[in-house]
Amino acid sequence: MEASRANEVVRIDLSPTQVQVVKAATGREAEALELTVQELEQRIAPKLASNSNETLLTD
Amino acid sequence: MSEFDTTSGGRLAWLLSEGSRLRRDGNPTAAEPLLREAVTLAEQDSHDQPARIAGSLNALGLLCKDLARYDEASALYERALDLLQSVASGHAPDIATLYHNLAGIEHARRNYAAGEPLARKGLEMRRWIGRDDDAALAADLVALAAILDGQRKFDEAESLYLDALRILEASPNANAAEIGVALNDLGAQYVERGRFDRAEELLVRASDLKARRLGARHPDVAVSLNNLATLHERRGDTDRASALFGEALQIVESALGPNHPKTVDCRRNYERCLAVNSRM
Repeated sequence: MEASRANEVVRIDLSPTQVQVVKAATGREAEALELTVQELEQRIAPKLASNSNETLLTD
Repeated sequence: MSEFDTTSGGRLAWLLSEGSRLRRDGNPTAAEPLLREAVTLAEQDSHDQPARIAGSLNALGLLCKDLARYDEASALYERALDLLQSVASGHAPDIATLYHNLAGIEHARRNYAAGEPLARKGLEMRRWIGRDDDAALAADLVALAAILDGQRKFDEAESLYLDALRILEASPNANAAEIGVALNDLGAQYVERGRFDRAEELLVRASDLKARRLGARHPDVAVSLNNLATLHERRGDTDRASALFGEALQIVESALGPNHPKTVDCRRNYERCLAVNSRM
């Protein structure tokens, strides 16, 4: 992913059936999903998460 | 992704997403059943999709590391690595991450010399892949630097931290918690080297960033408070040090339990500092 595109927003219009599924499950009206390029990539092809090596000082 | 997607793939994606969120938020007890179900579901239904199984094994491995179950975490990462290495191609970034994570287990065990080649291999792969995943590259640099610090190879580690911070602070993909880890680790190194003024600046920034991103009671915040306390103790300000050690201990004890290695380390630091204070 180009770094400069990571925060661009992509809009995905929902079909009438998808609108009904969202309404039934959440009670909310939604006509579309809006995700950043980074969020969308993580949904389509999630990459593995890494752990952190945090230093905790001891004597 | 939500729980109302009742297909097997939808359920798996929800389990991974929600379980990983709970883990990141410092709630491993709630995360564990979700991530264990994710592994079971992936192994039942995704025989033709090794990346899905590997993703579930890795997510559970991260949780096991947080819970200090290092043998189990290591075995999960190894299984994920075997799976991805058995398929043709296309998984190099994830394989690099698994080397990074295996090195993290050795860091947590304080087997720094064993972790170094794994961390170097992950970093070498990430550089060879050459994609624009700058946040992942920076995370690899920080992870290797922490392992070098454990062996007191401070100069190389410092250079890696500074490179990572330059990348992270310019990256739209980096989050505050990742920057917080880099600031914490470099600050801790400066405490070890007696560069107290610079260390204090970095550790205060690290704990503030982590508290804003993760919440003030997250165990990662406690790590930076513990390091800040060590700095004040070495400067001779044991009143301030014992207050910070006490705060760090409360957080990790509440989040991770009384026997977790981080809790044990924080308690030892706190009790040592109190003992010094009582003799003054």
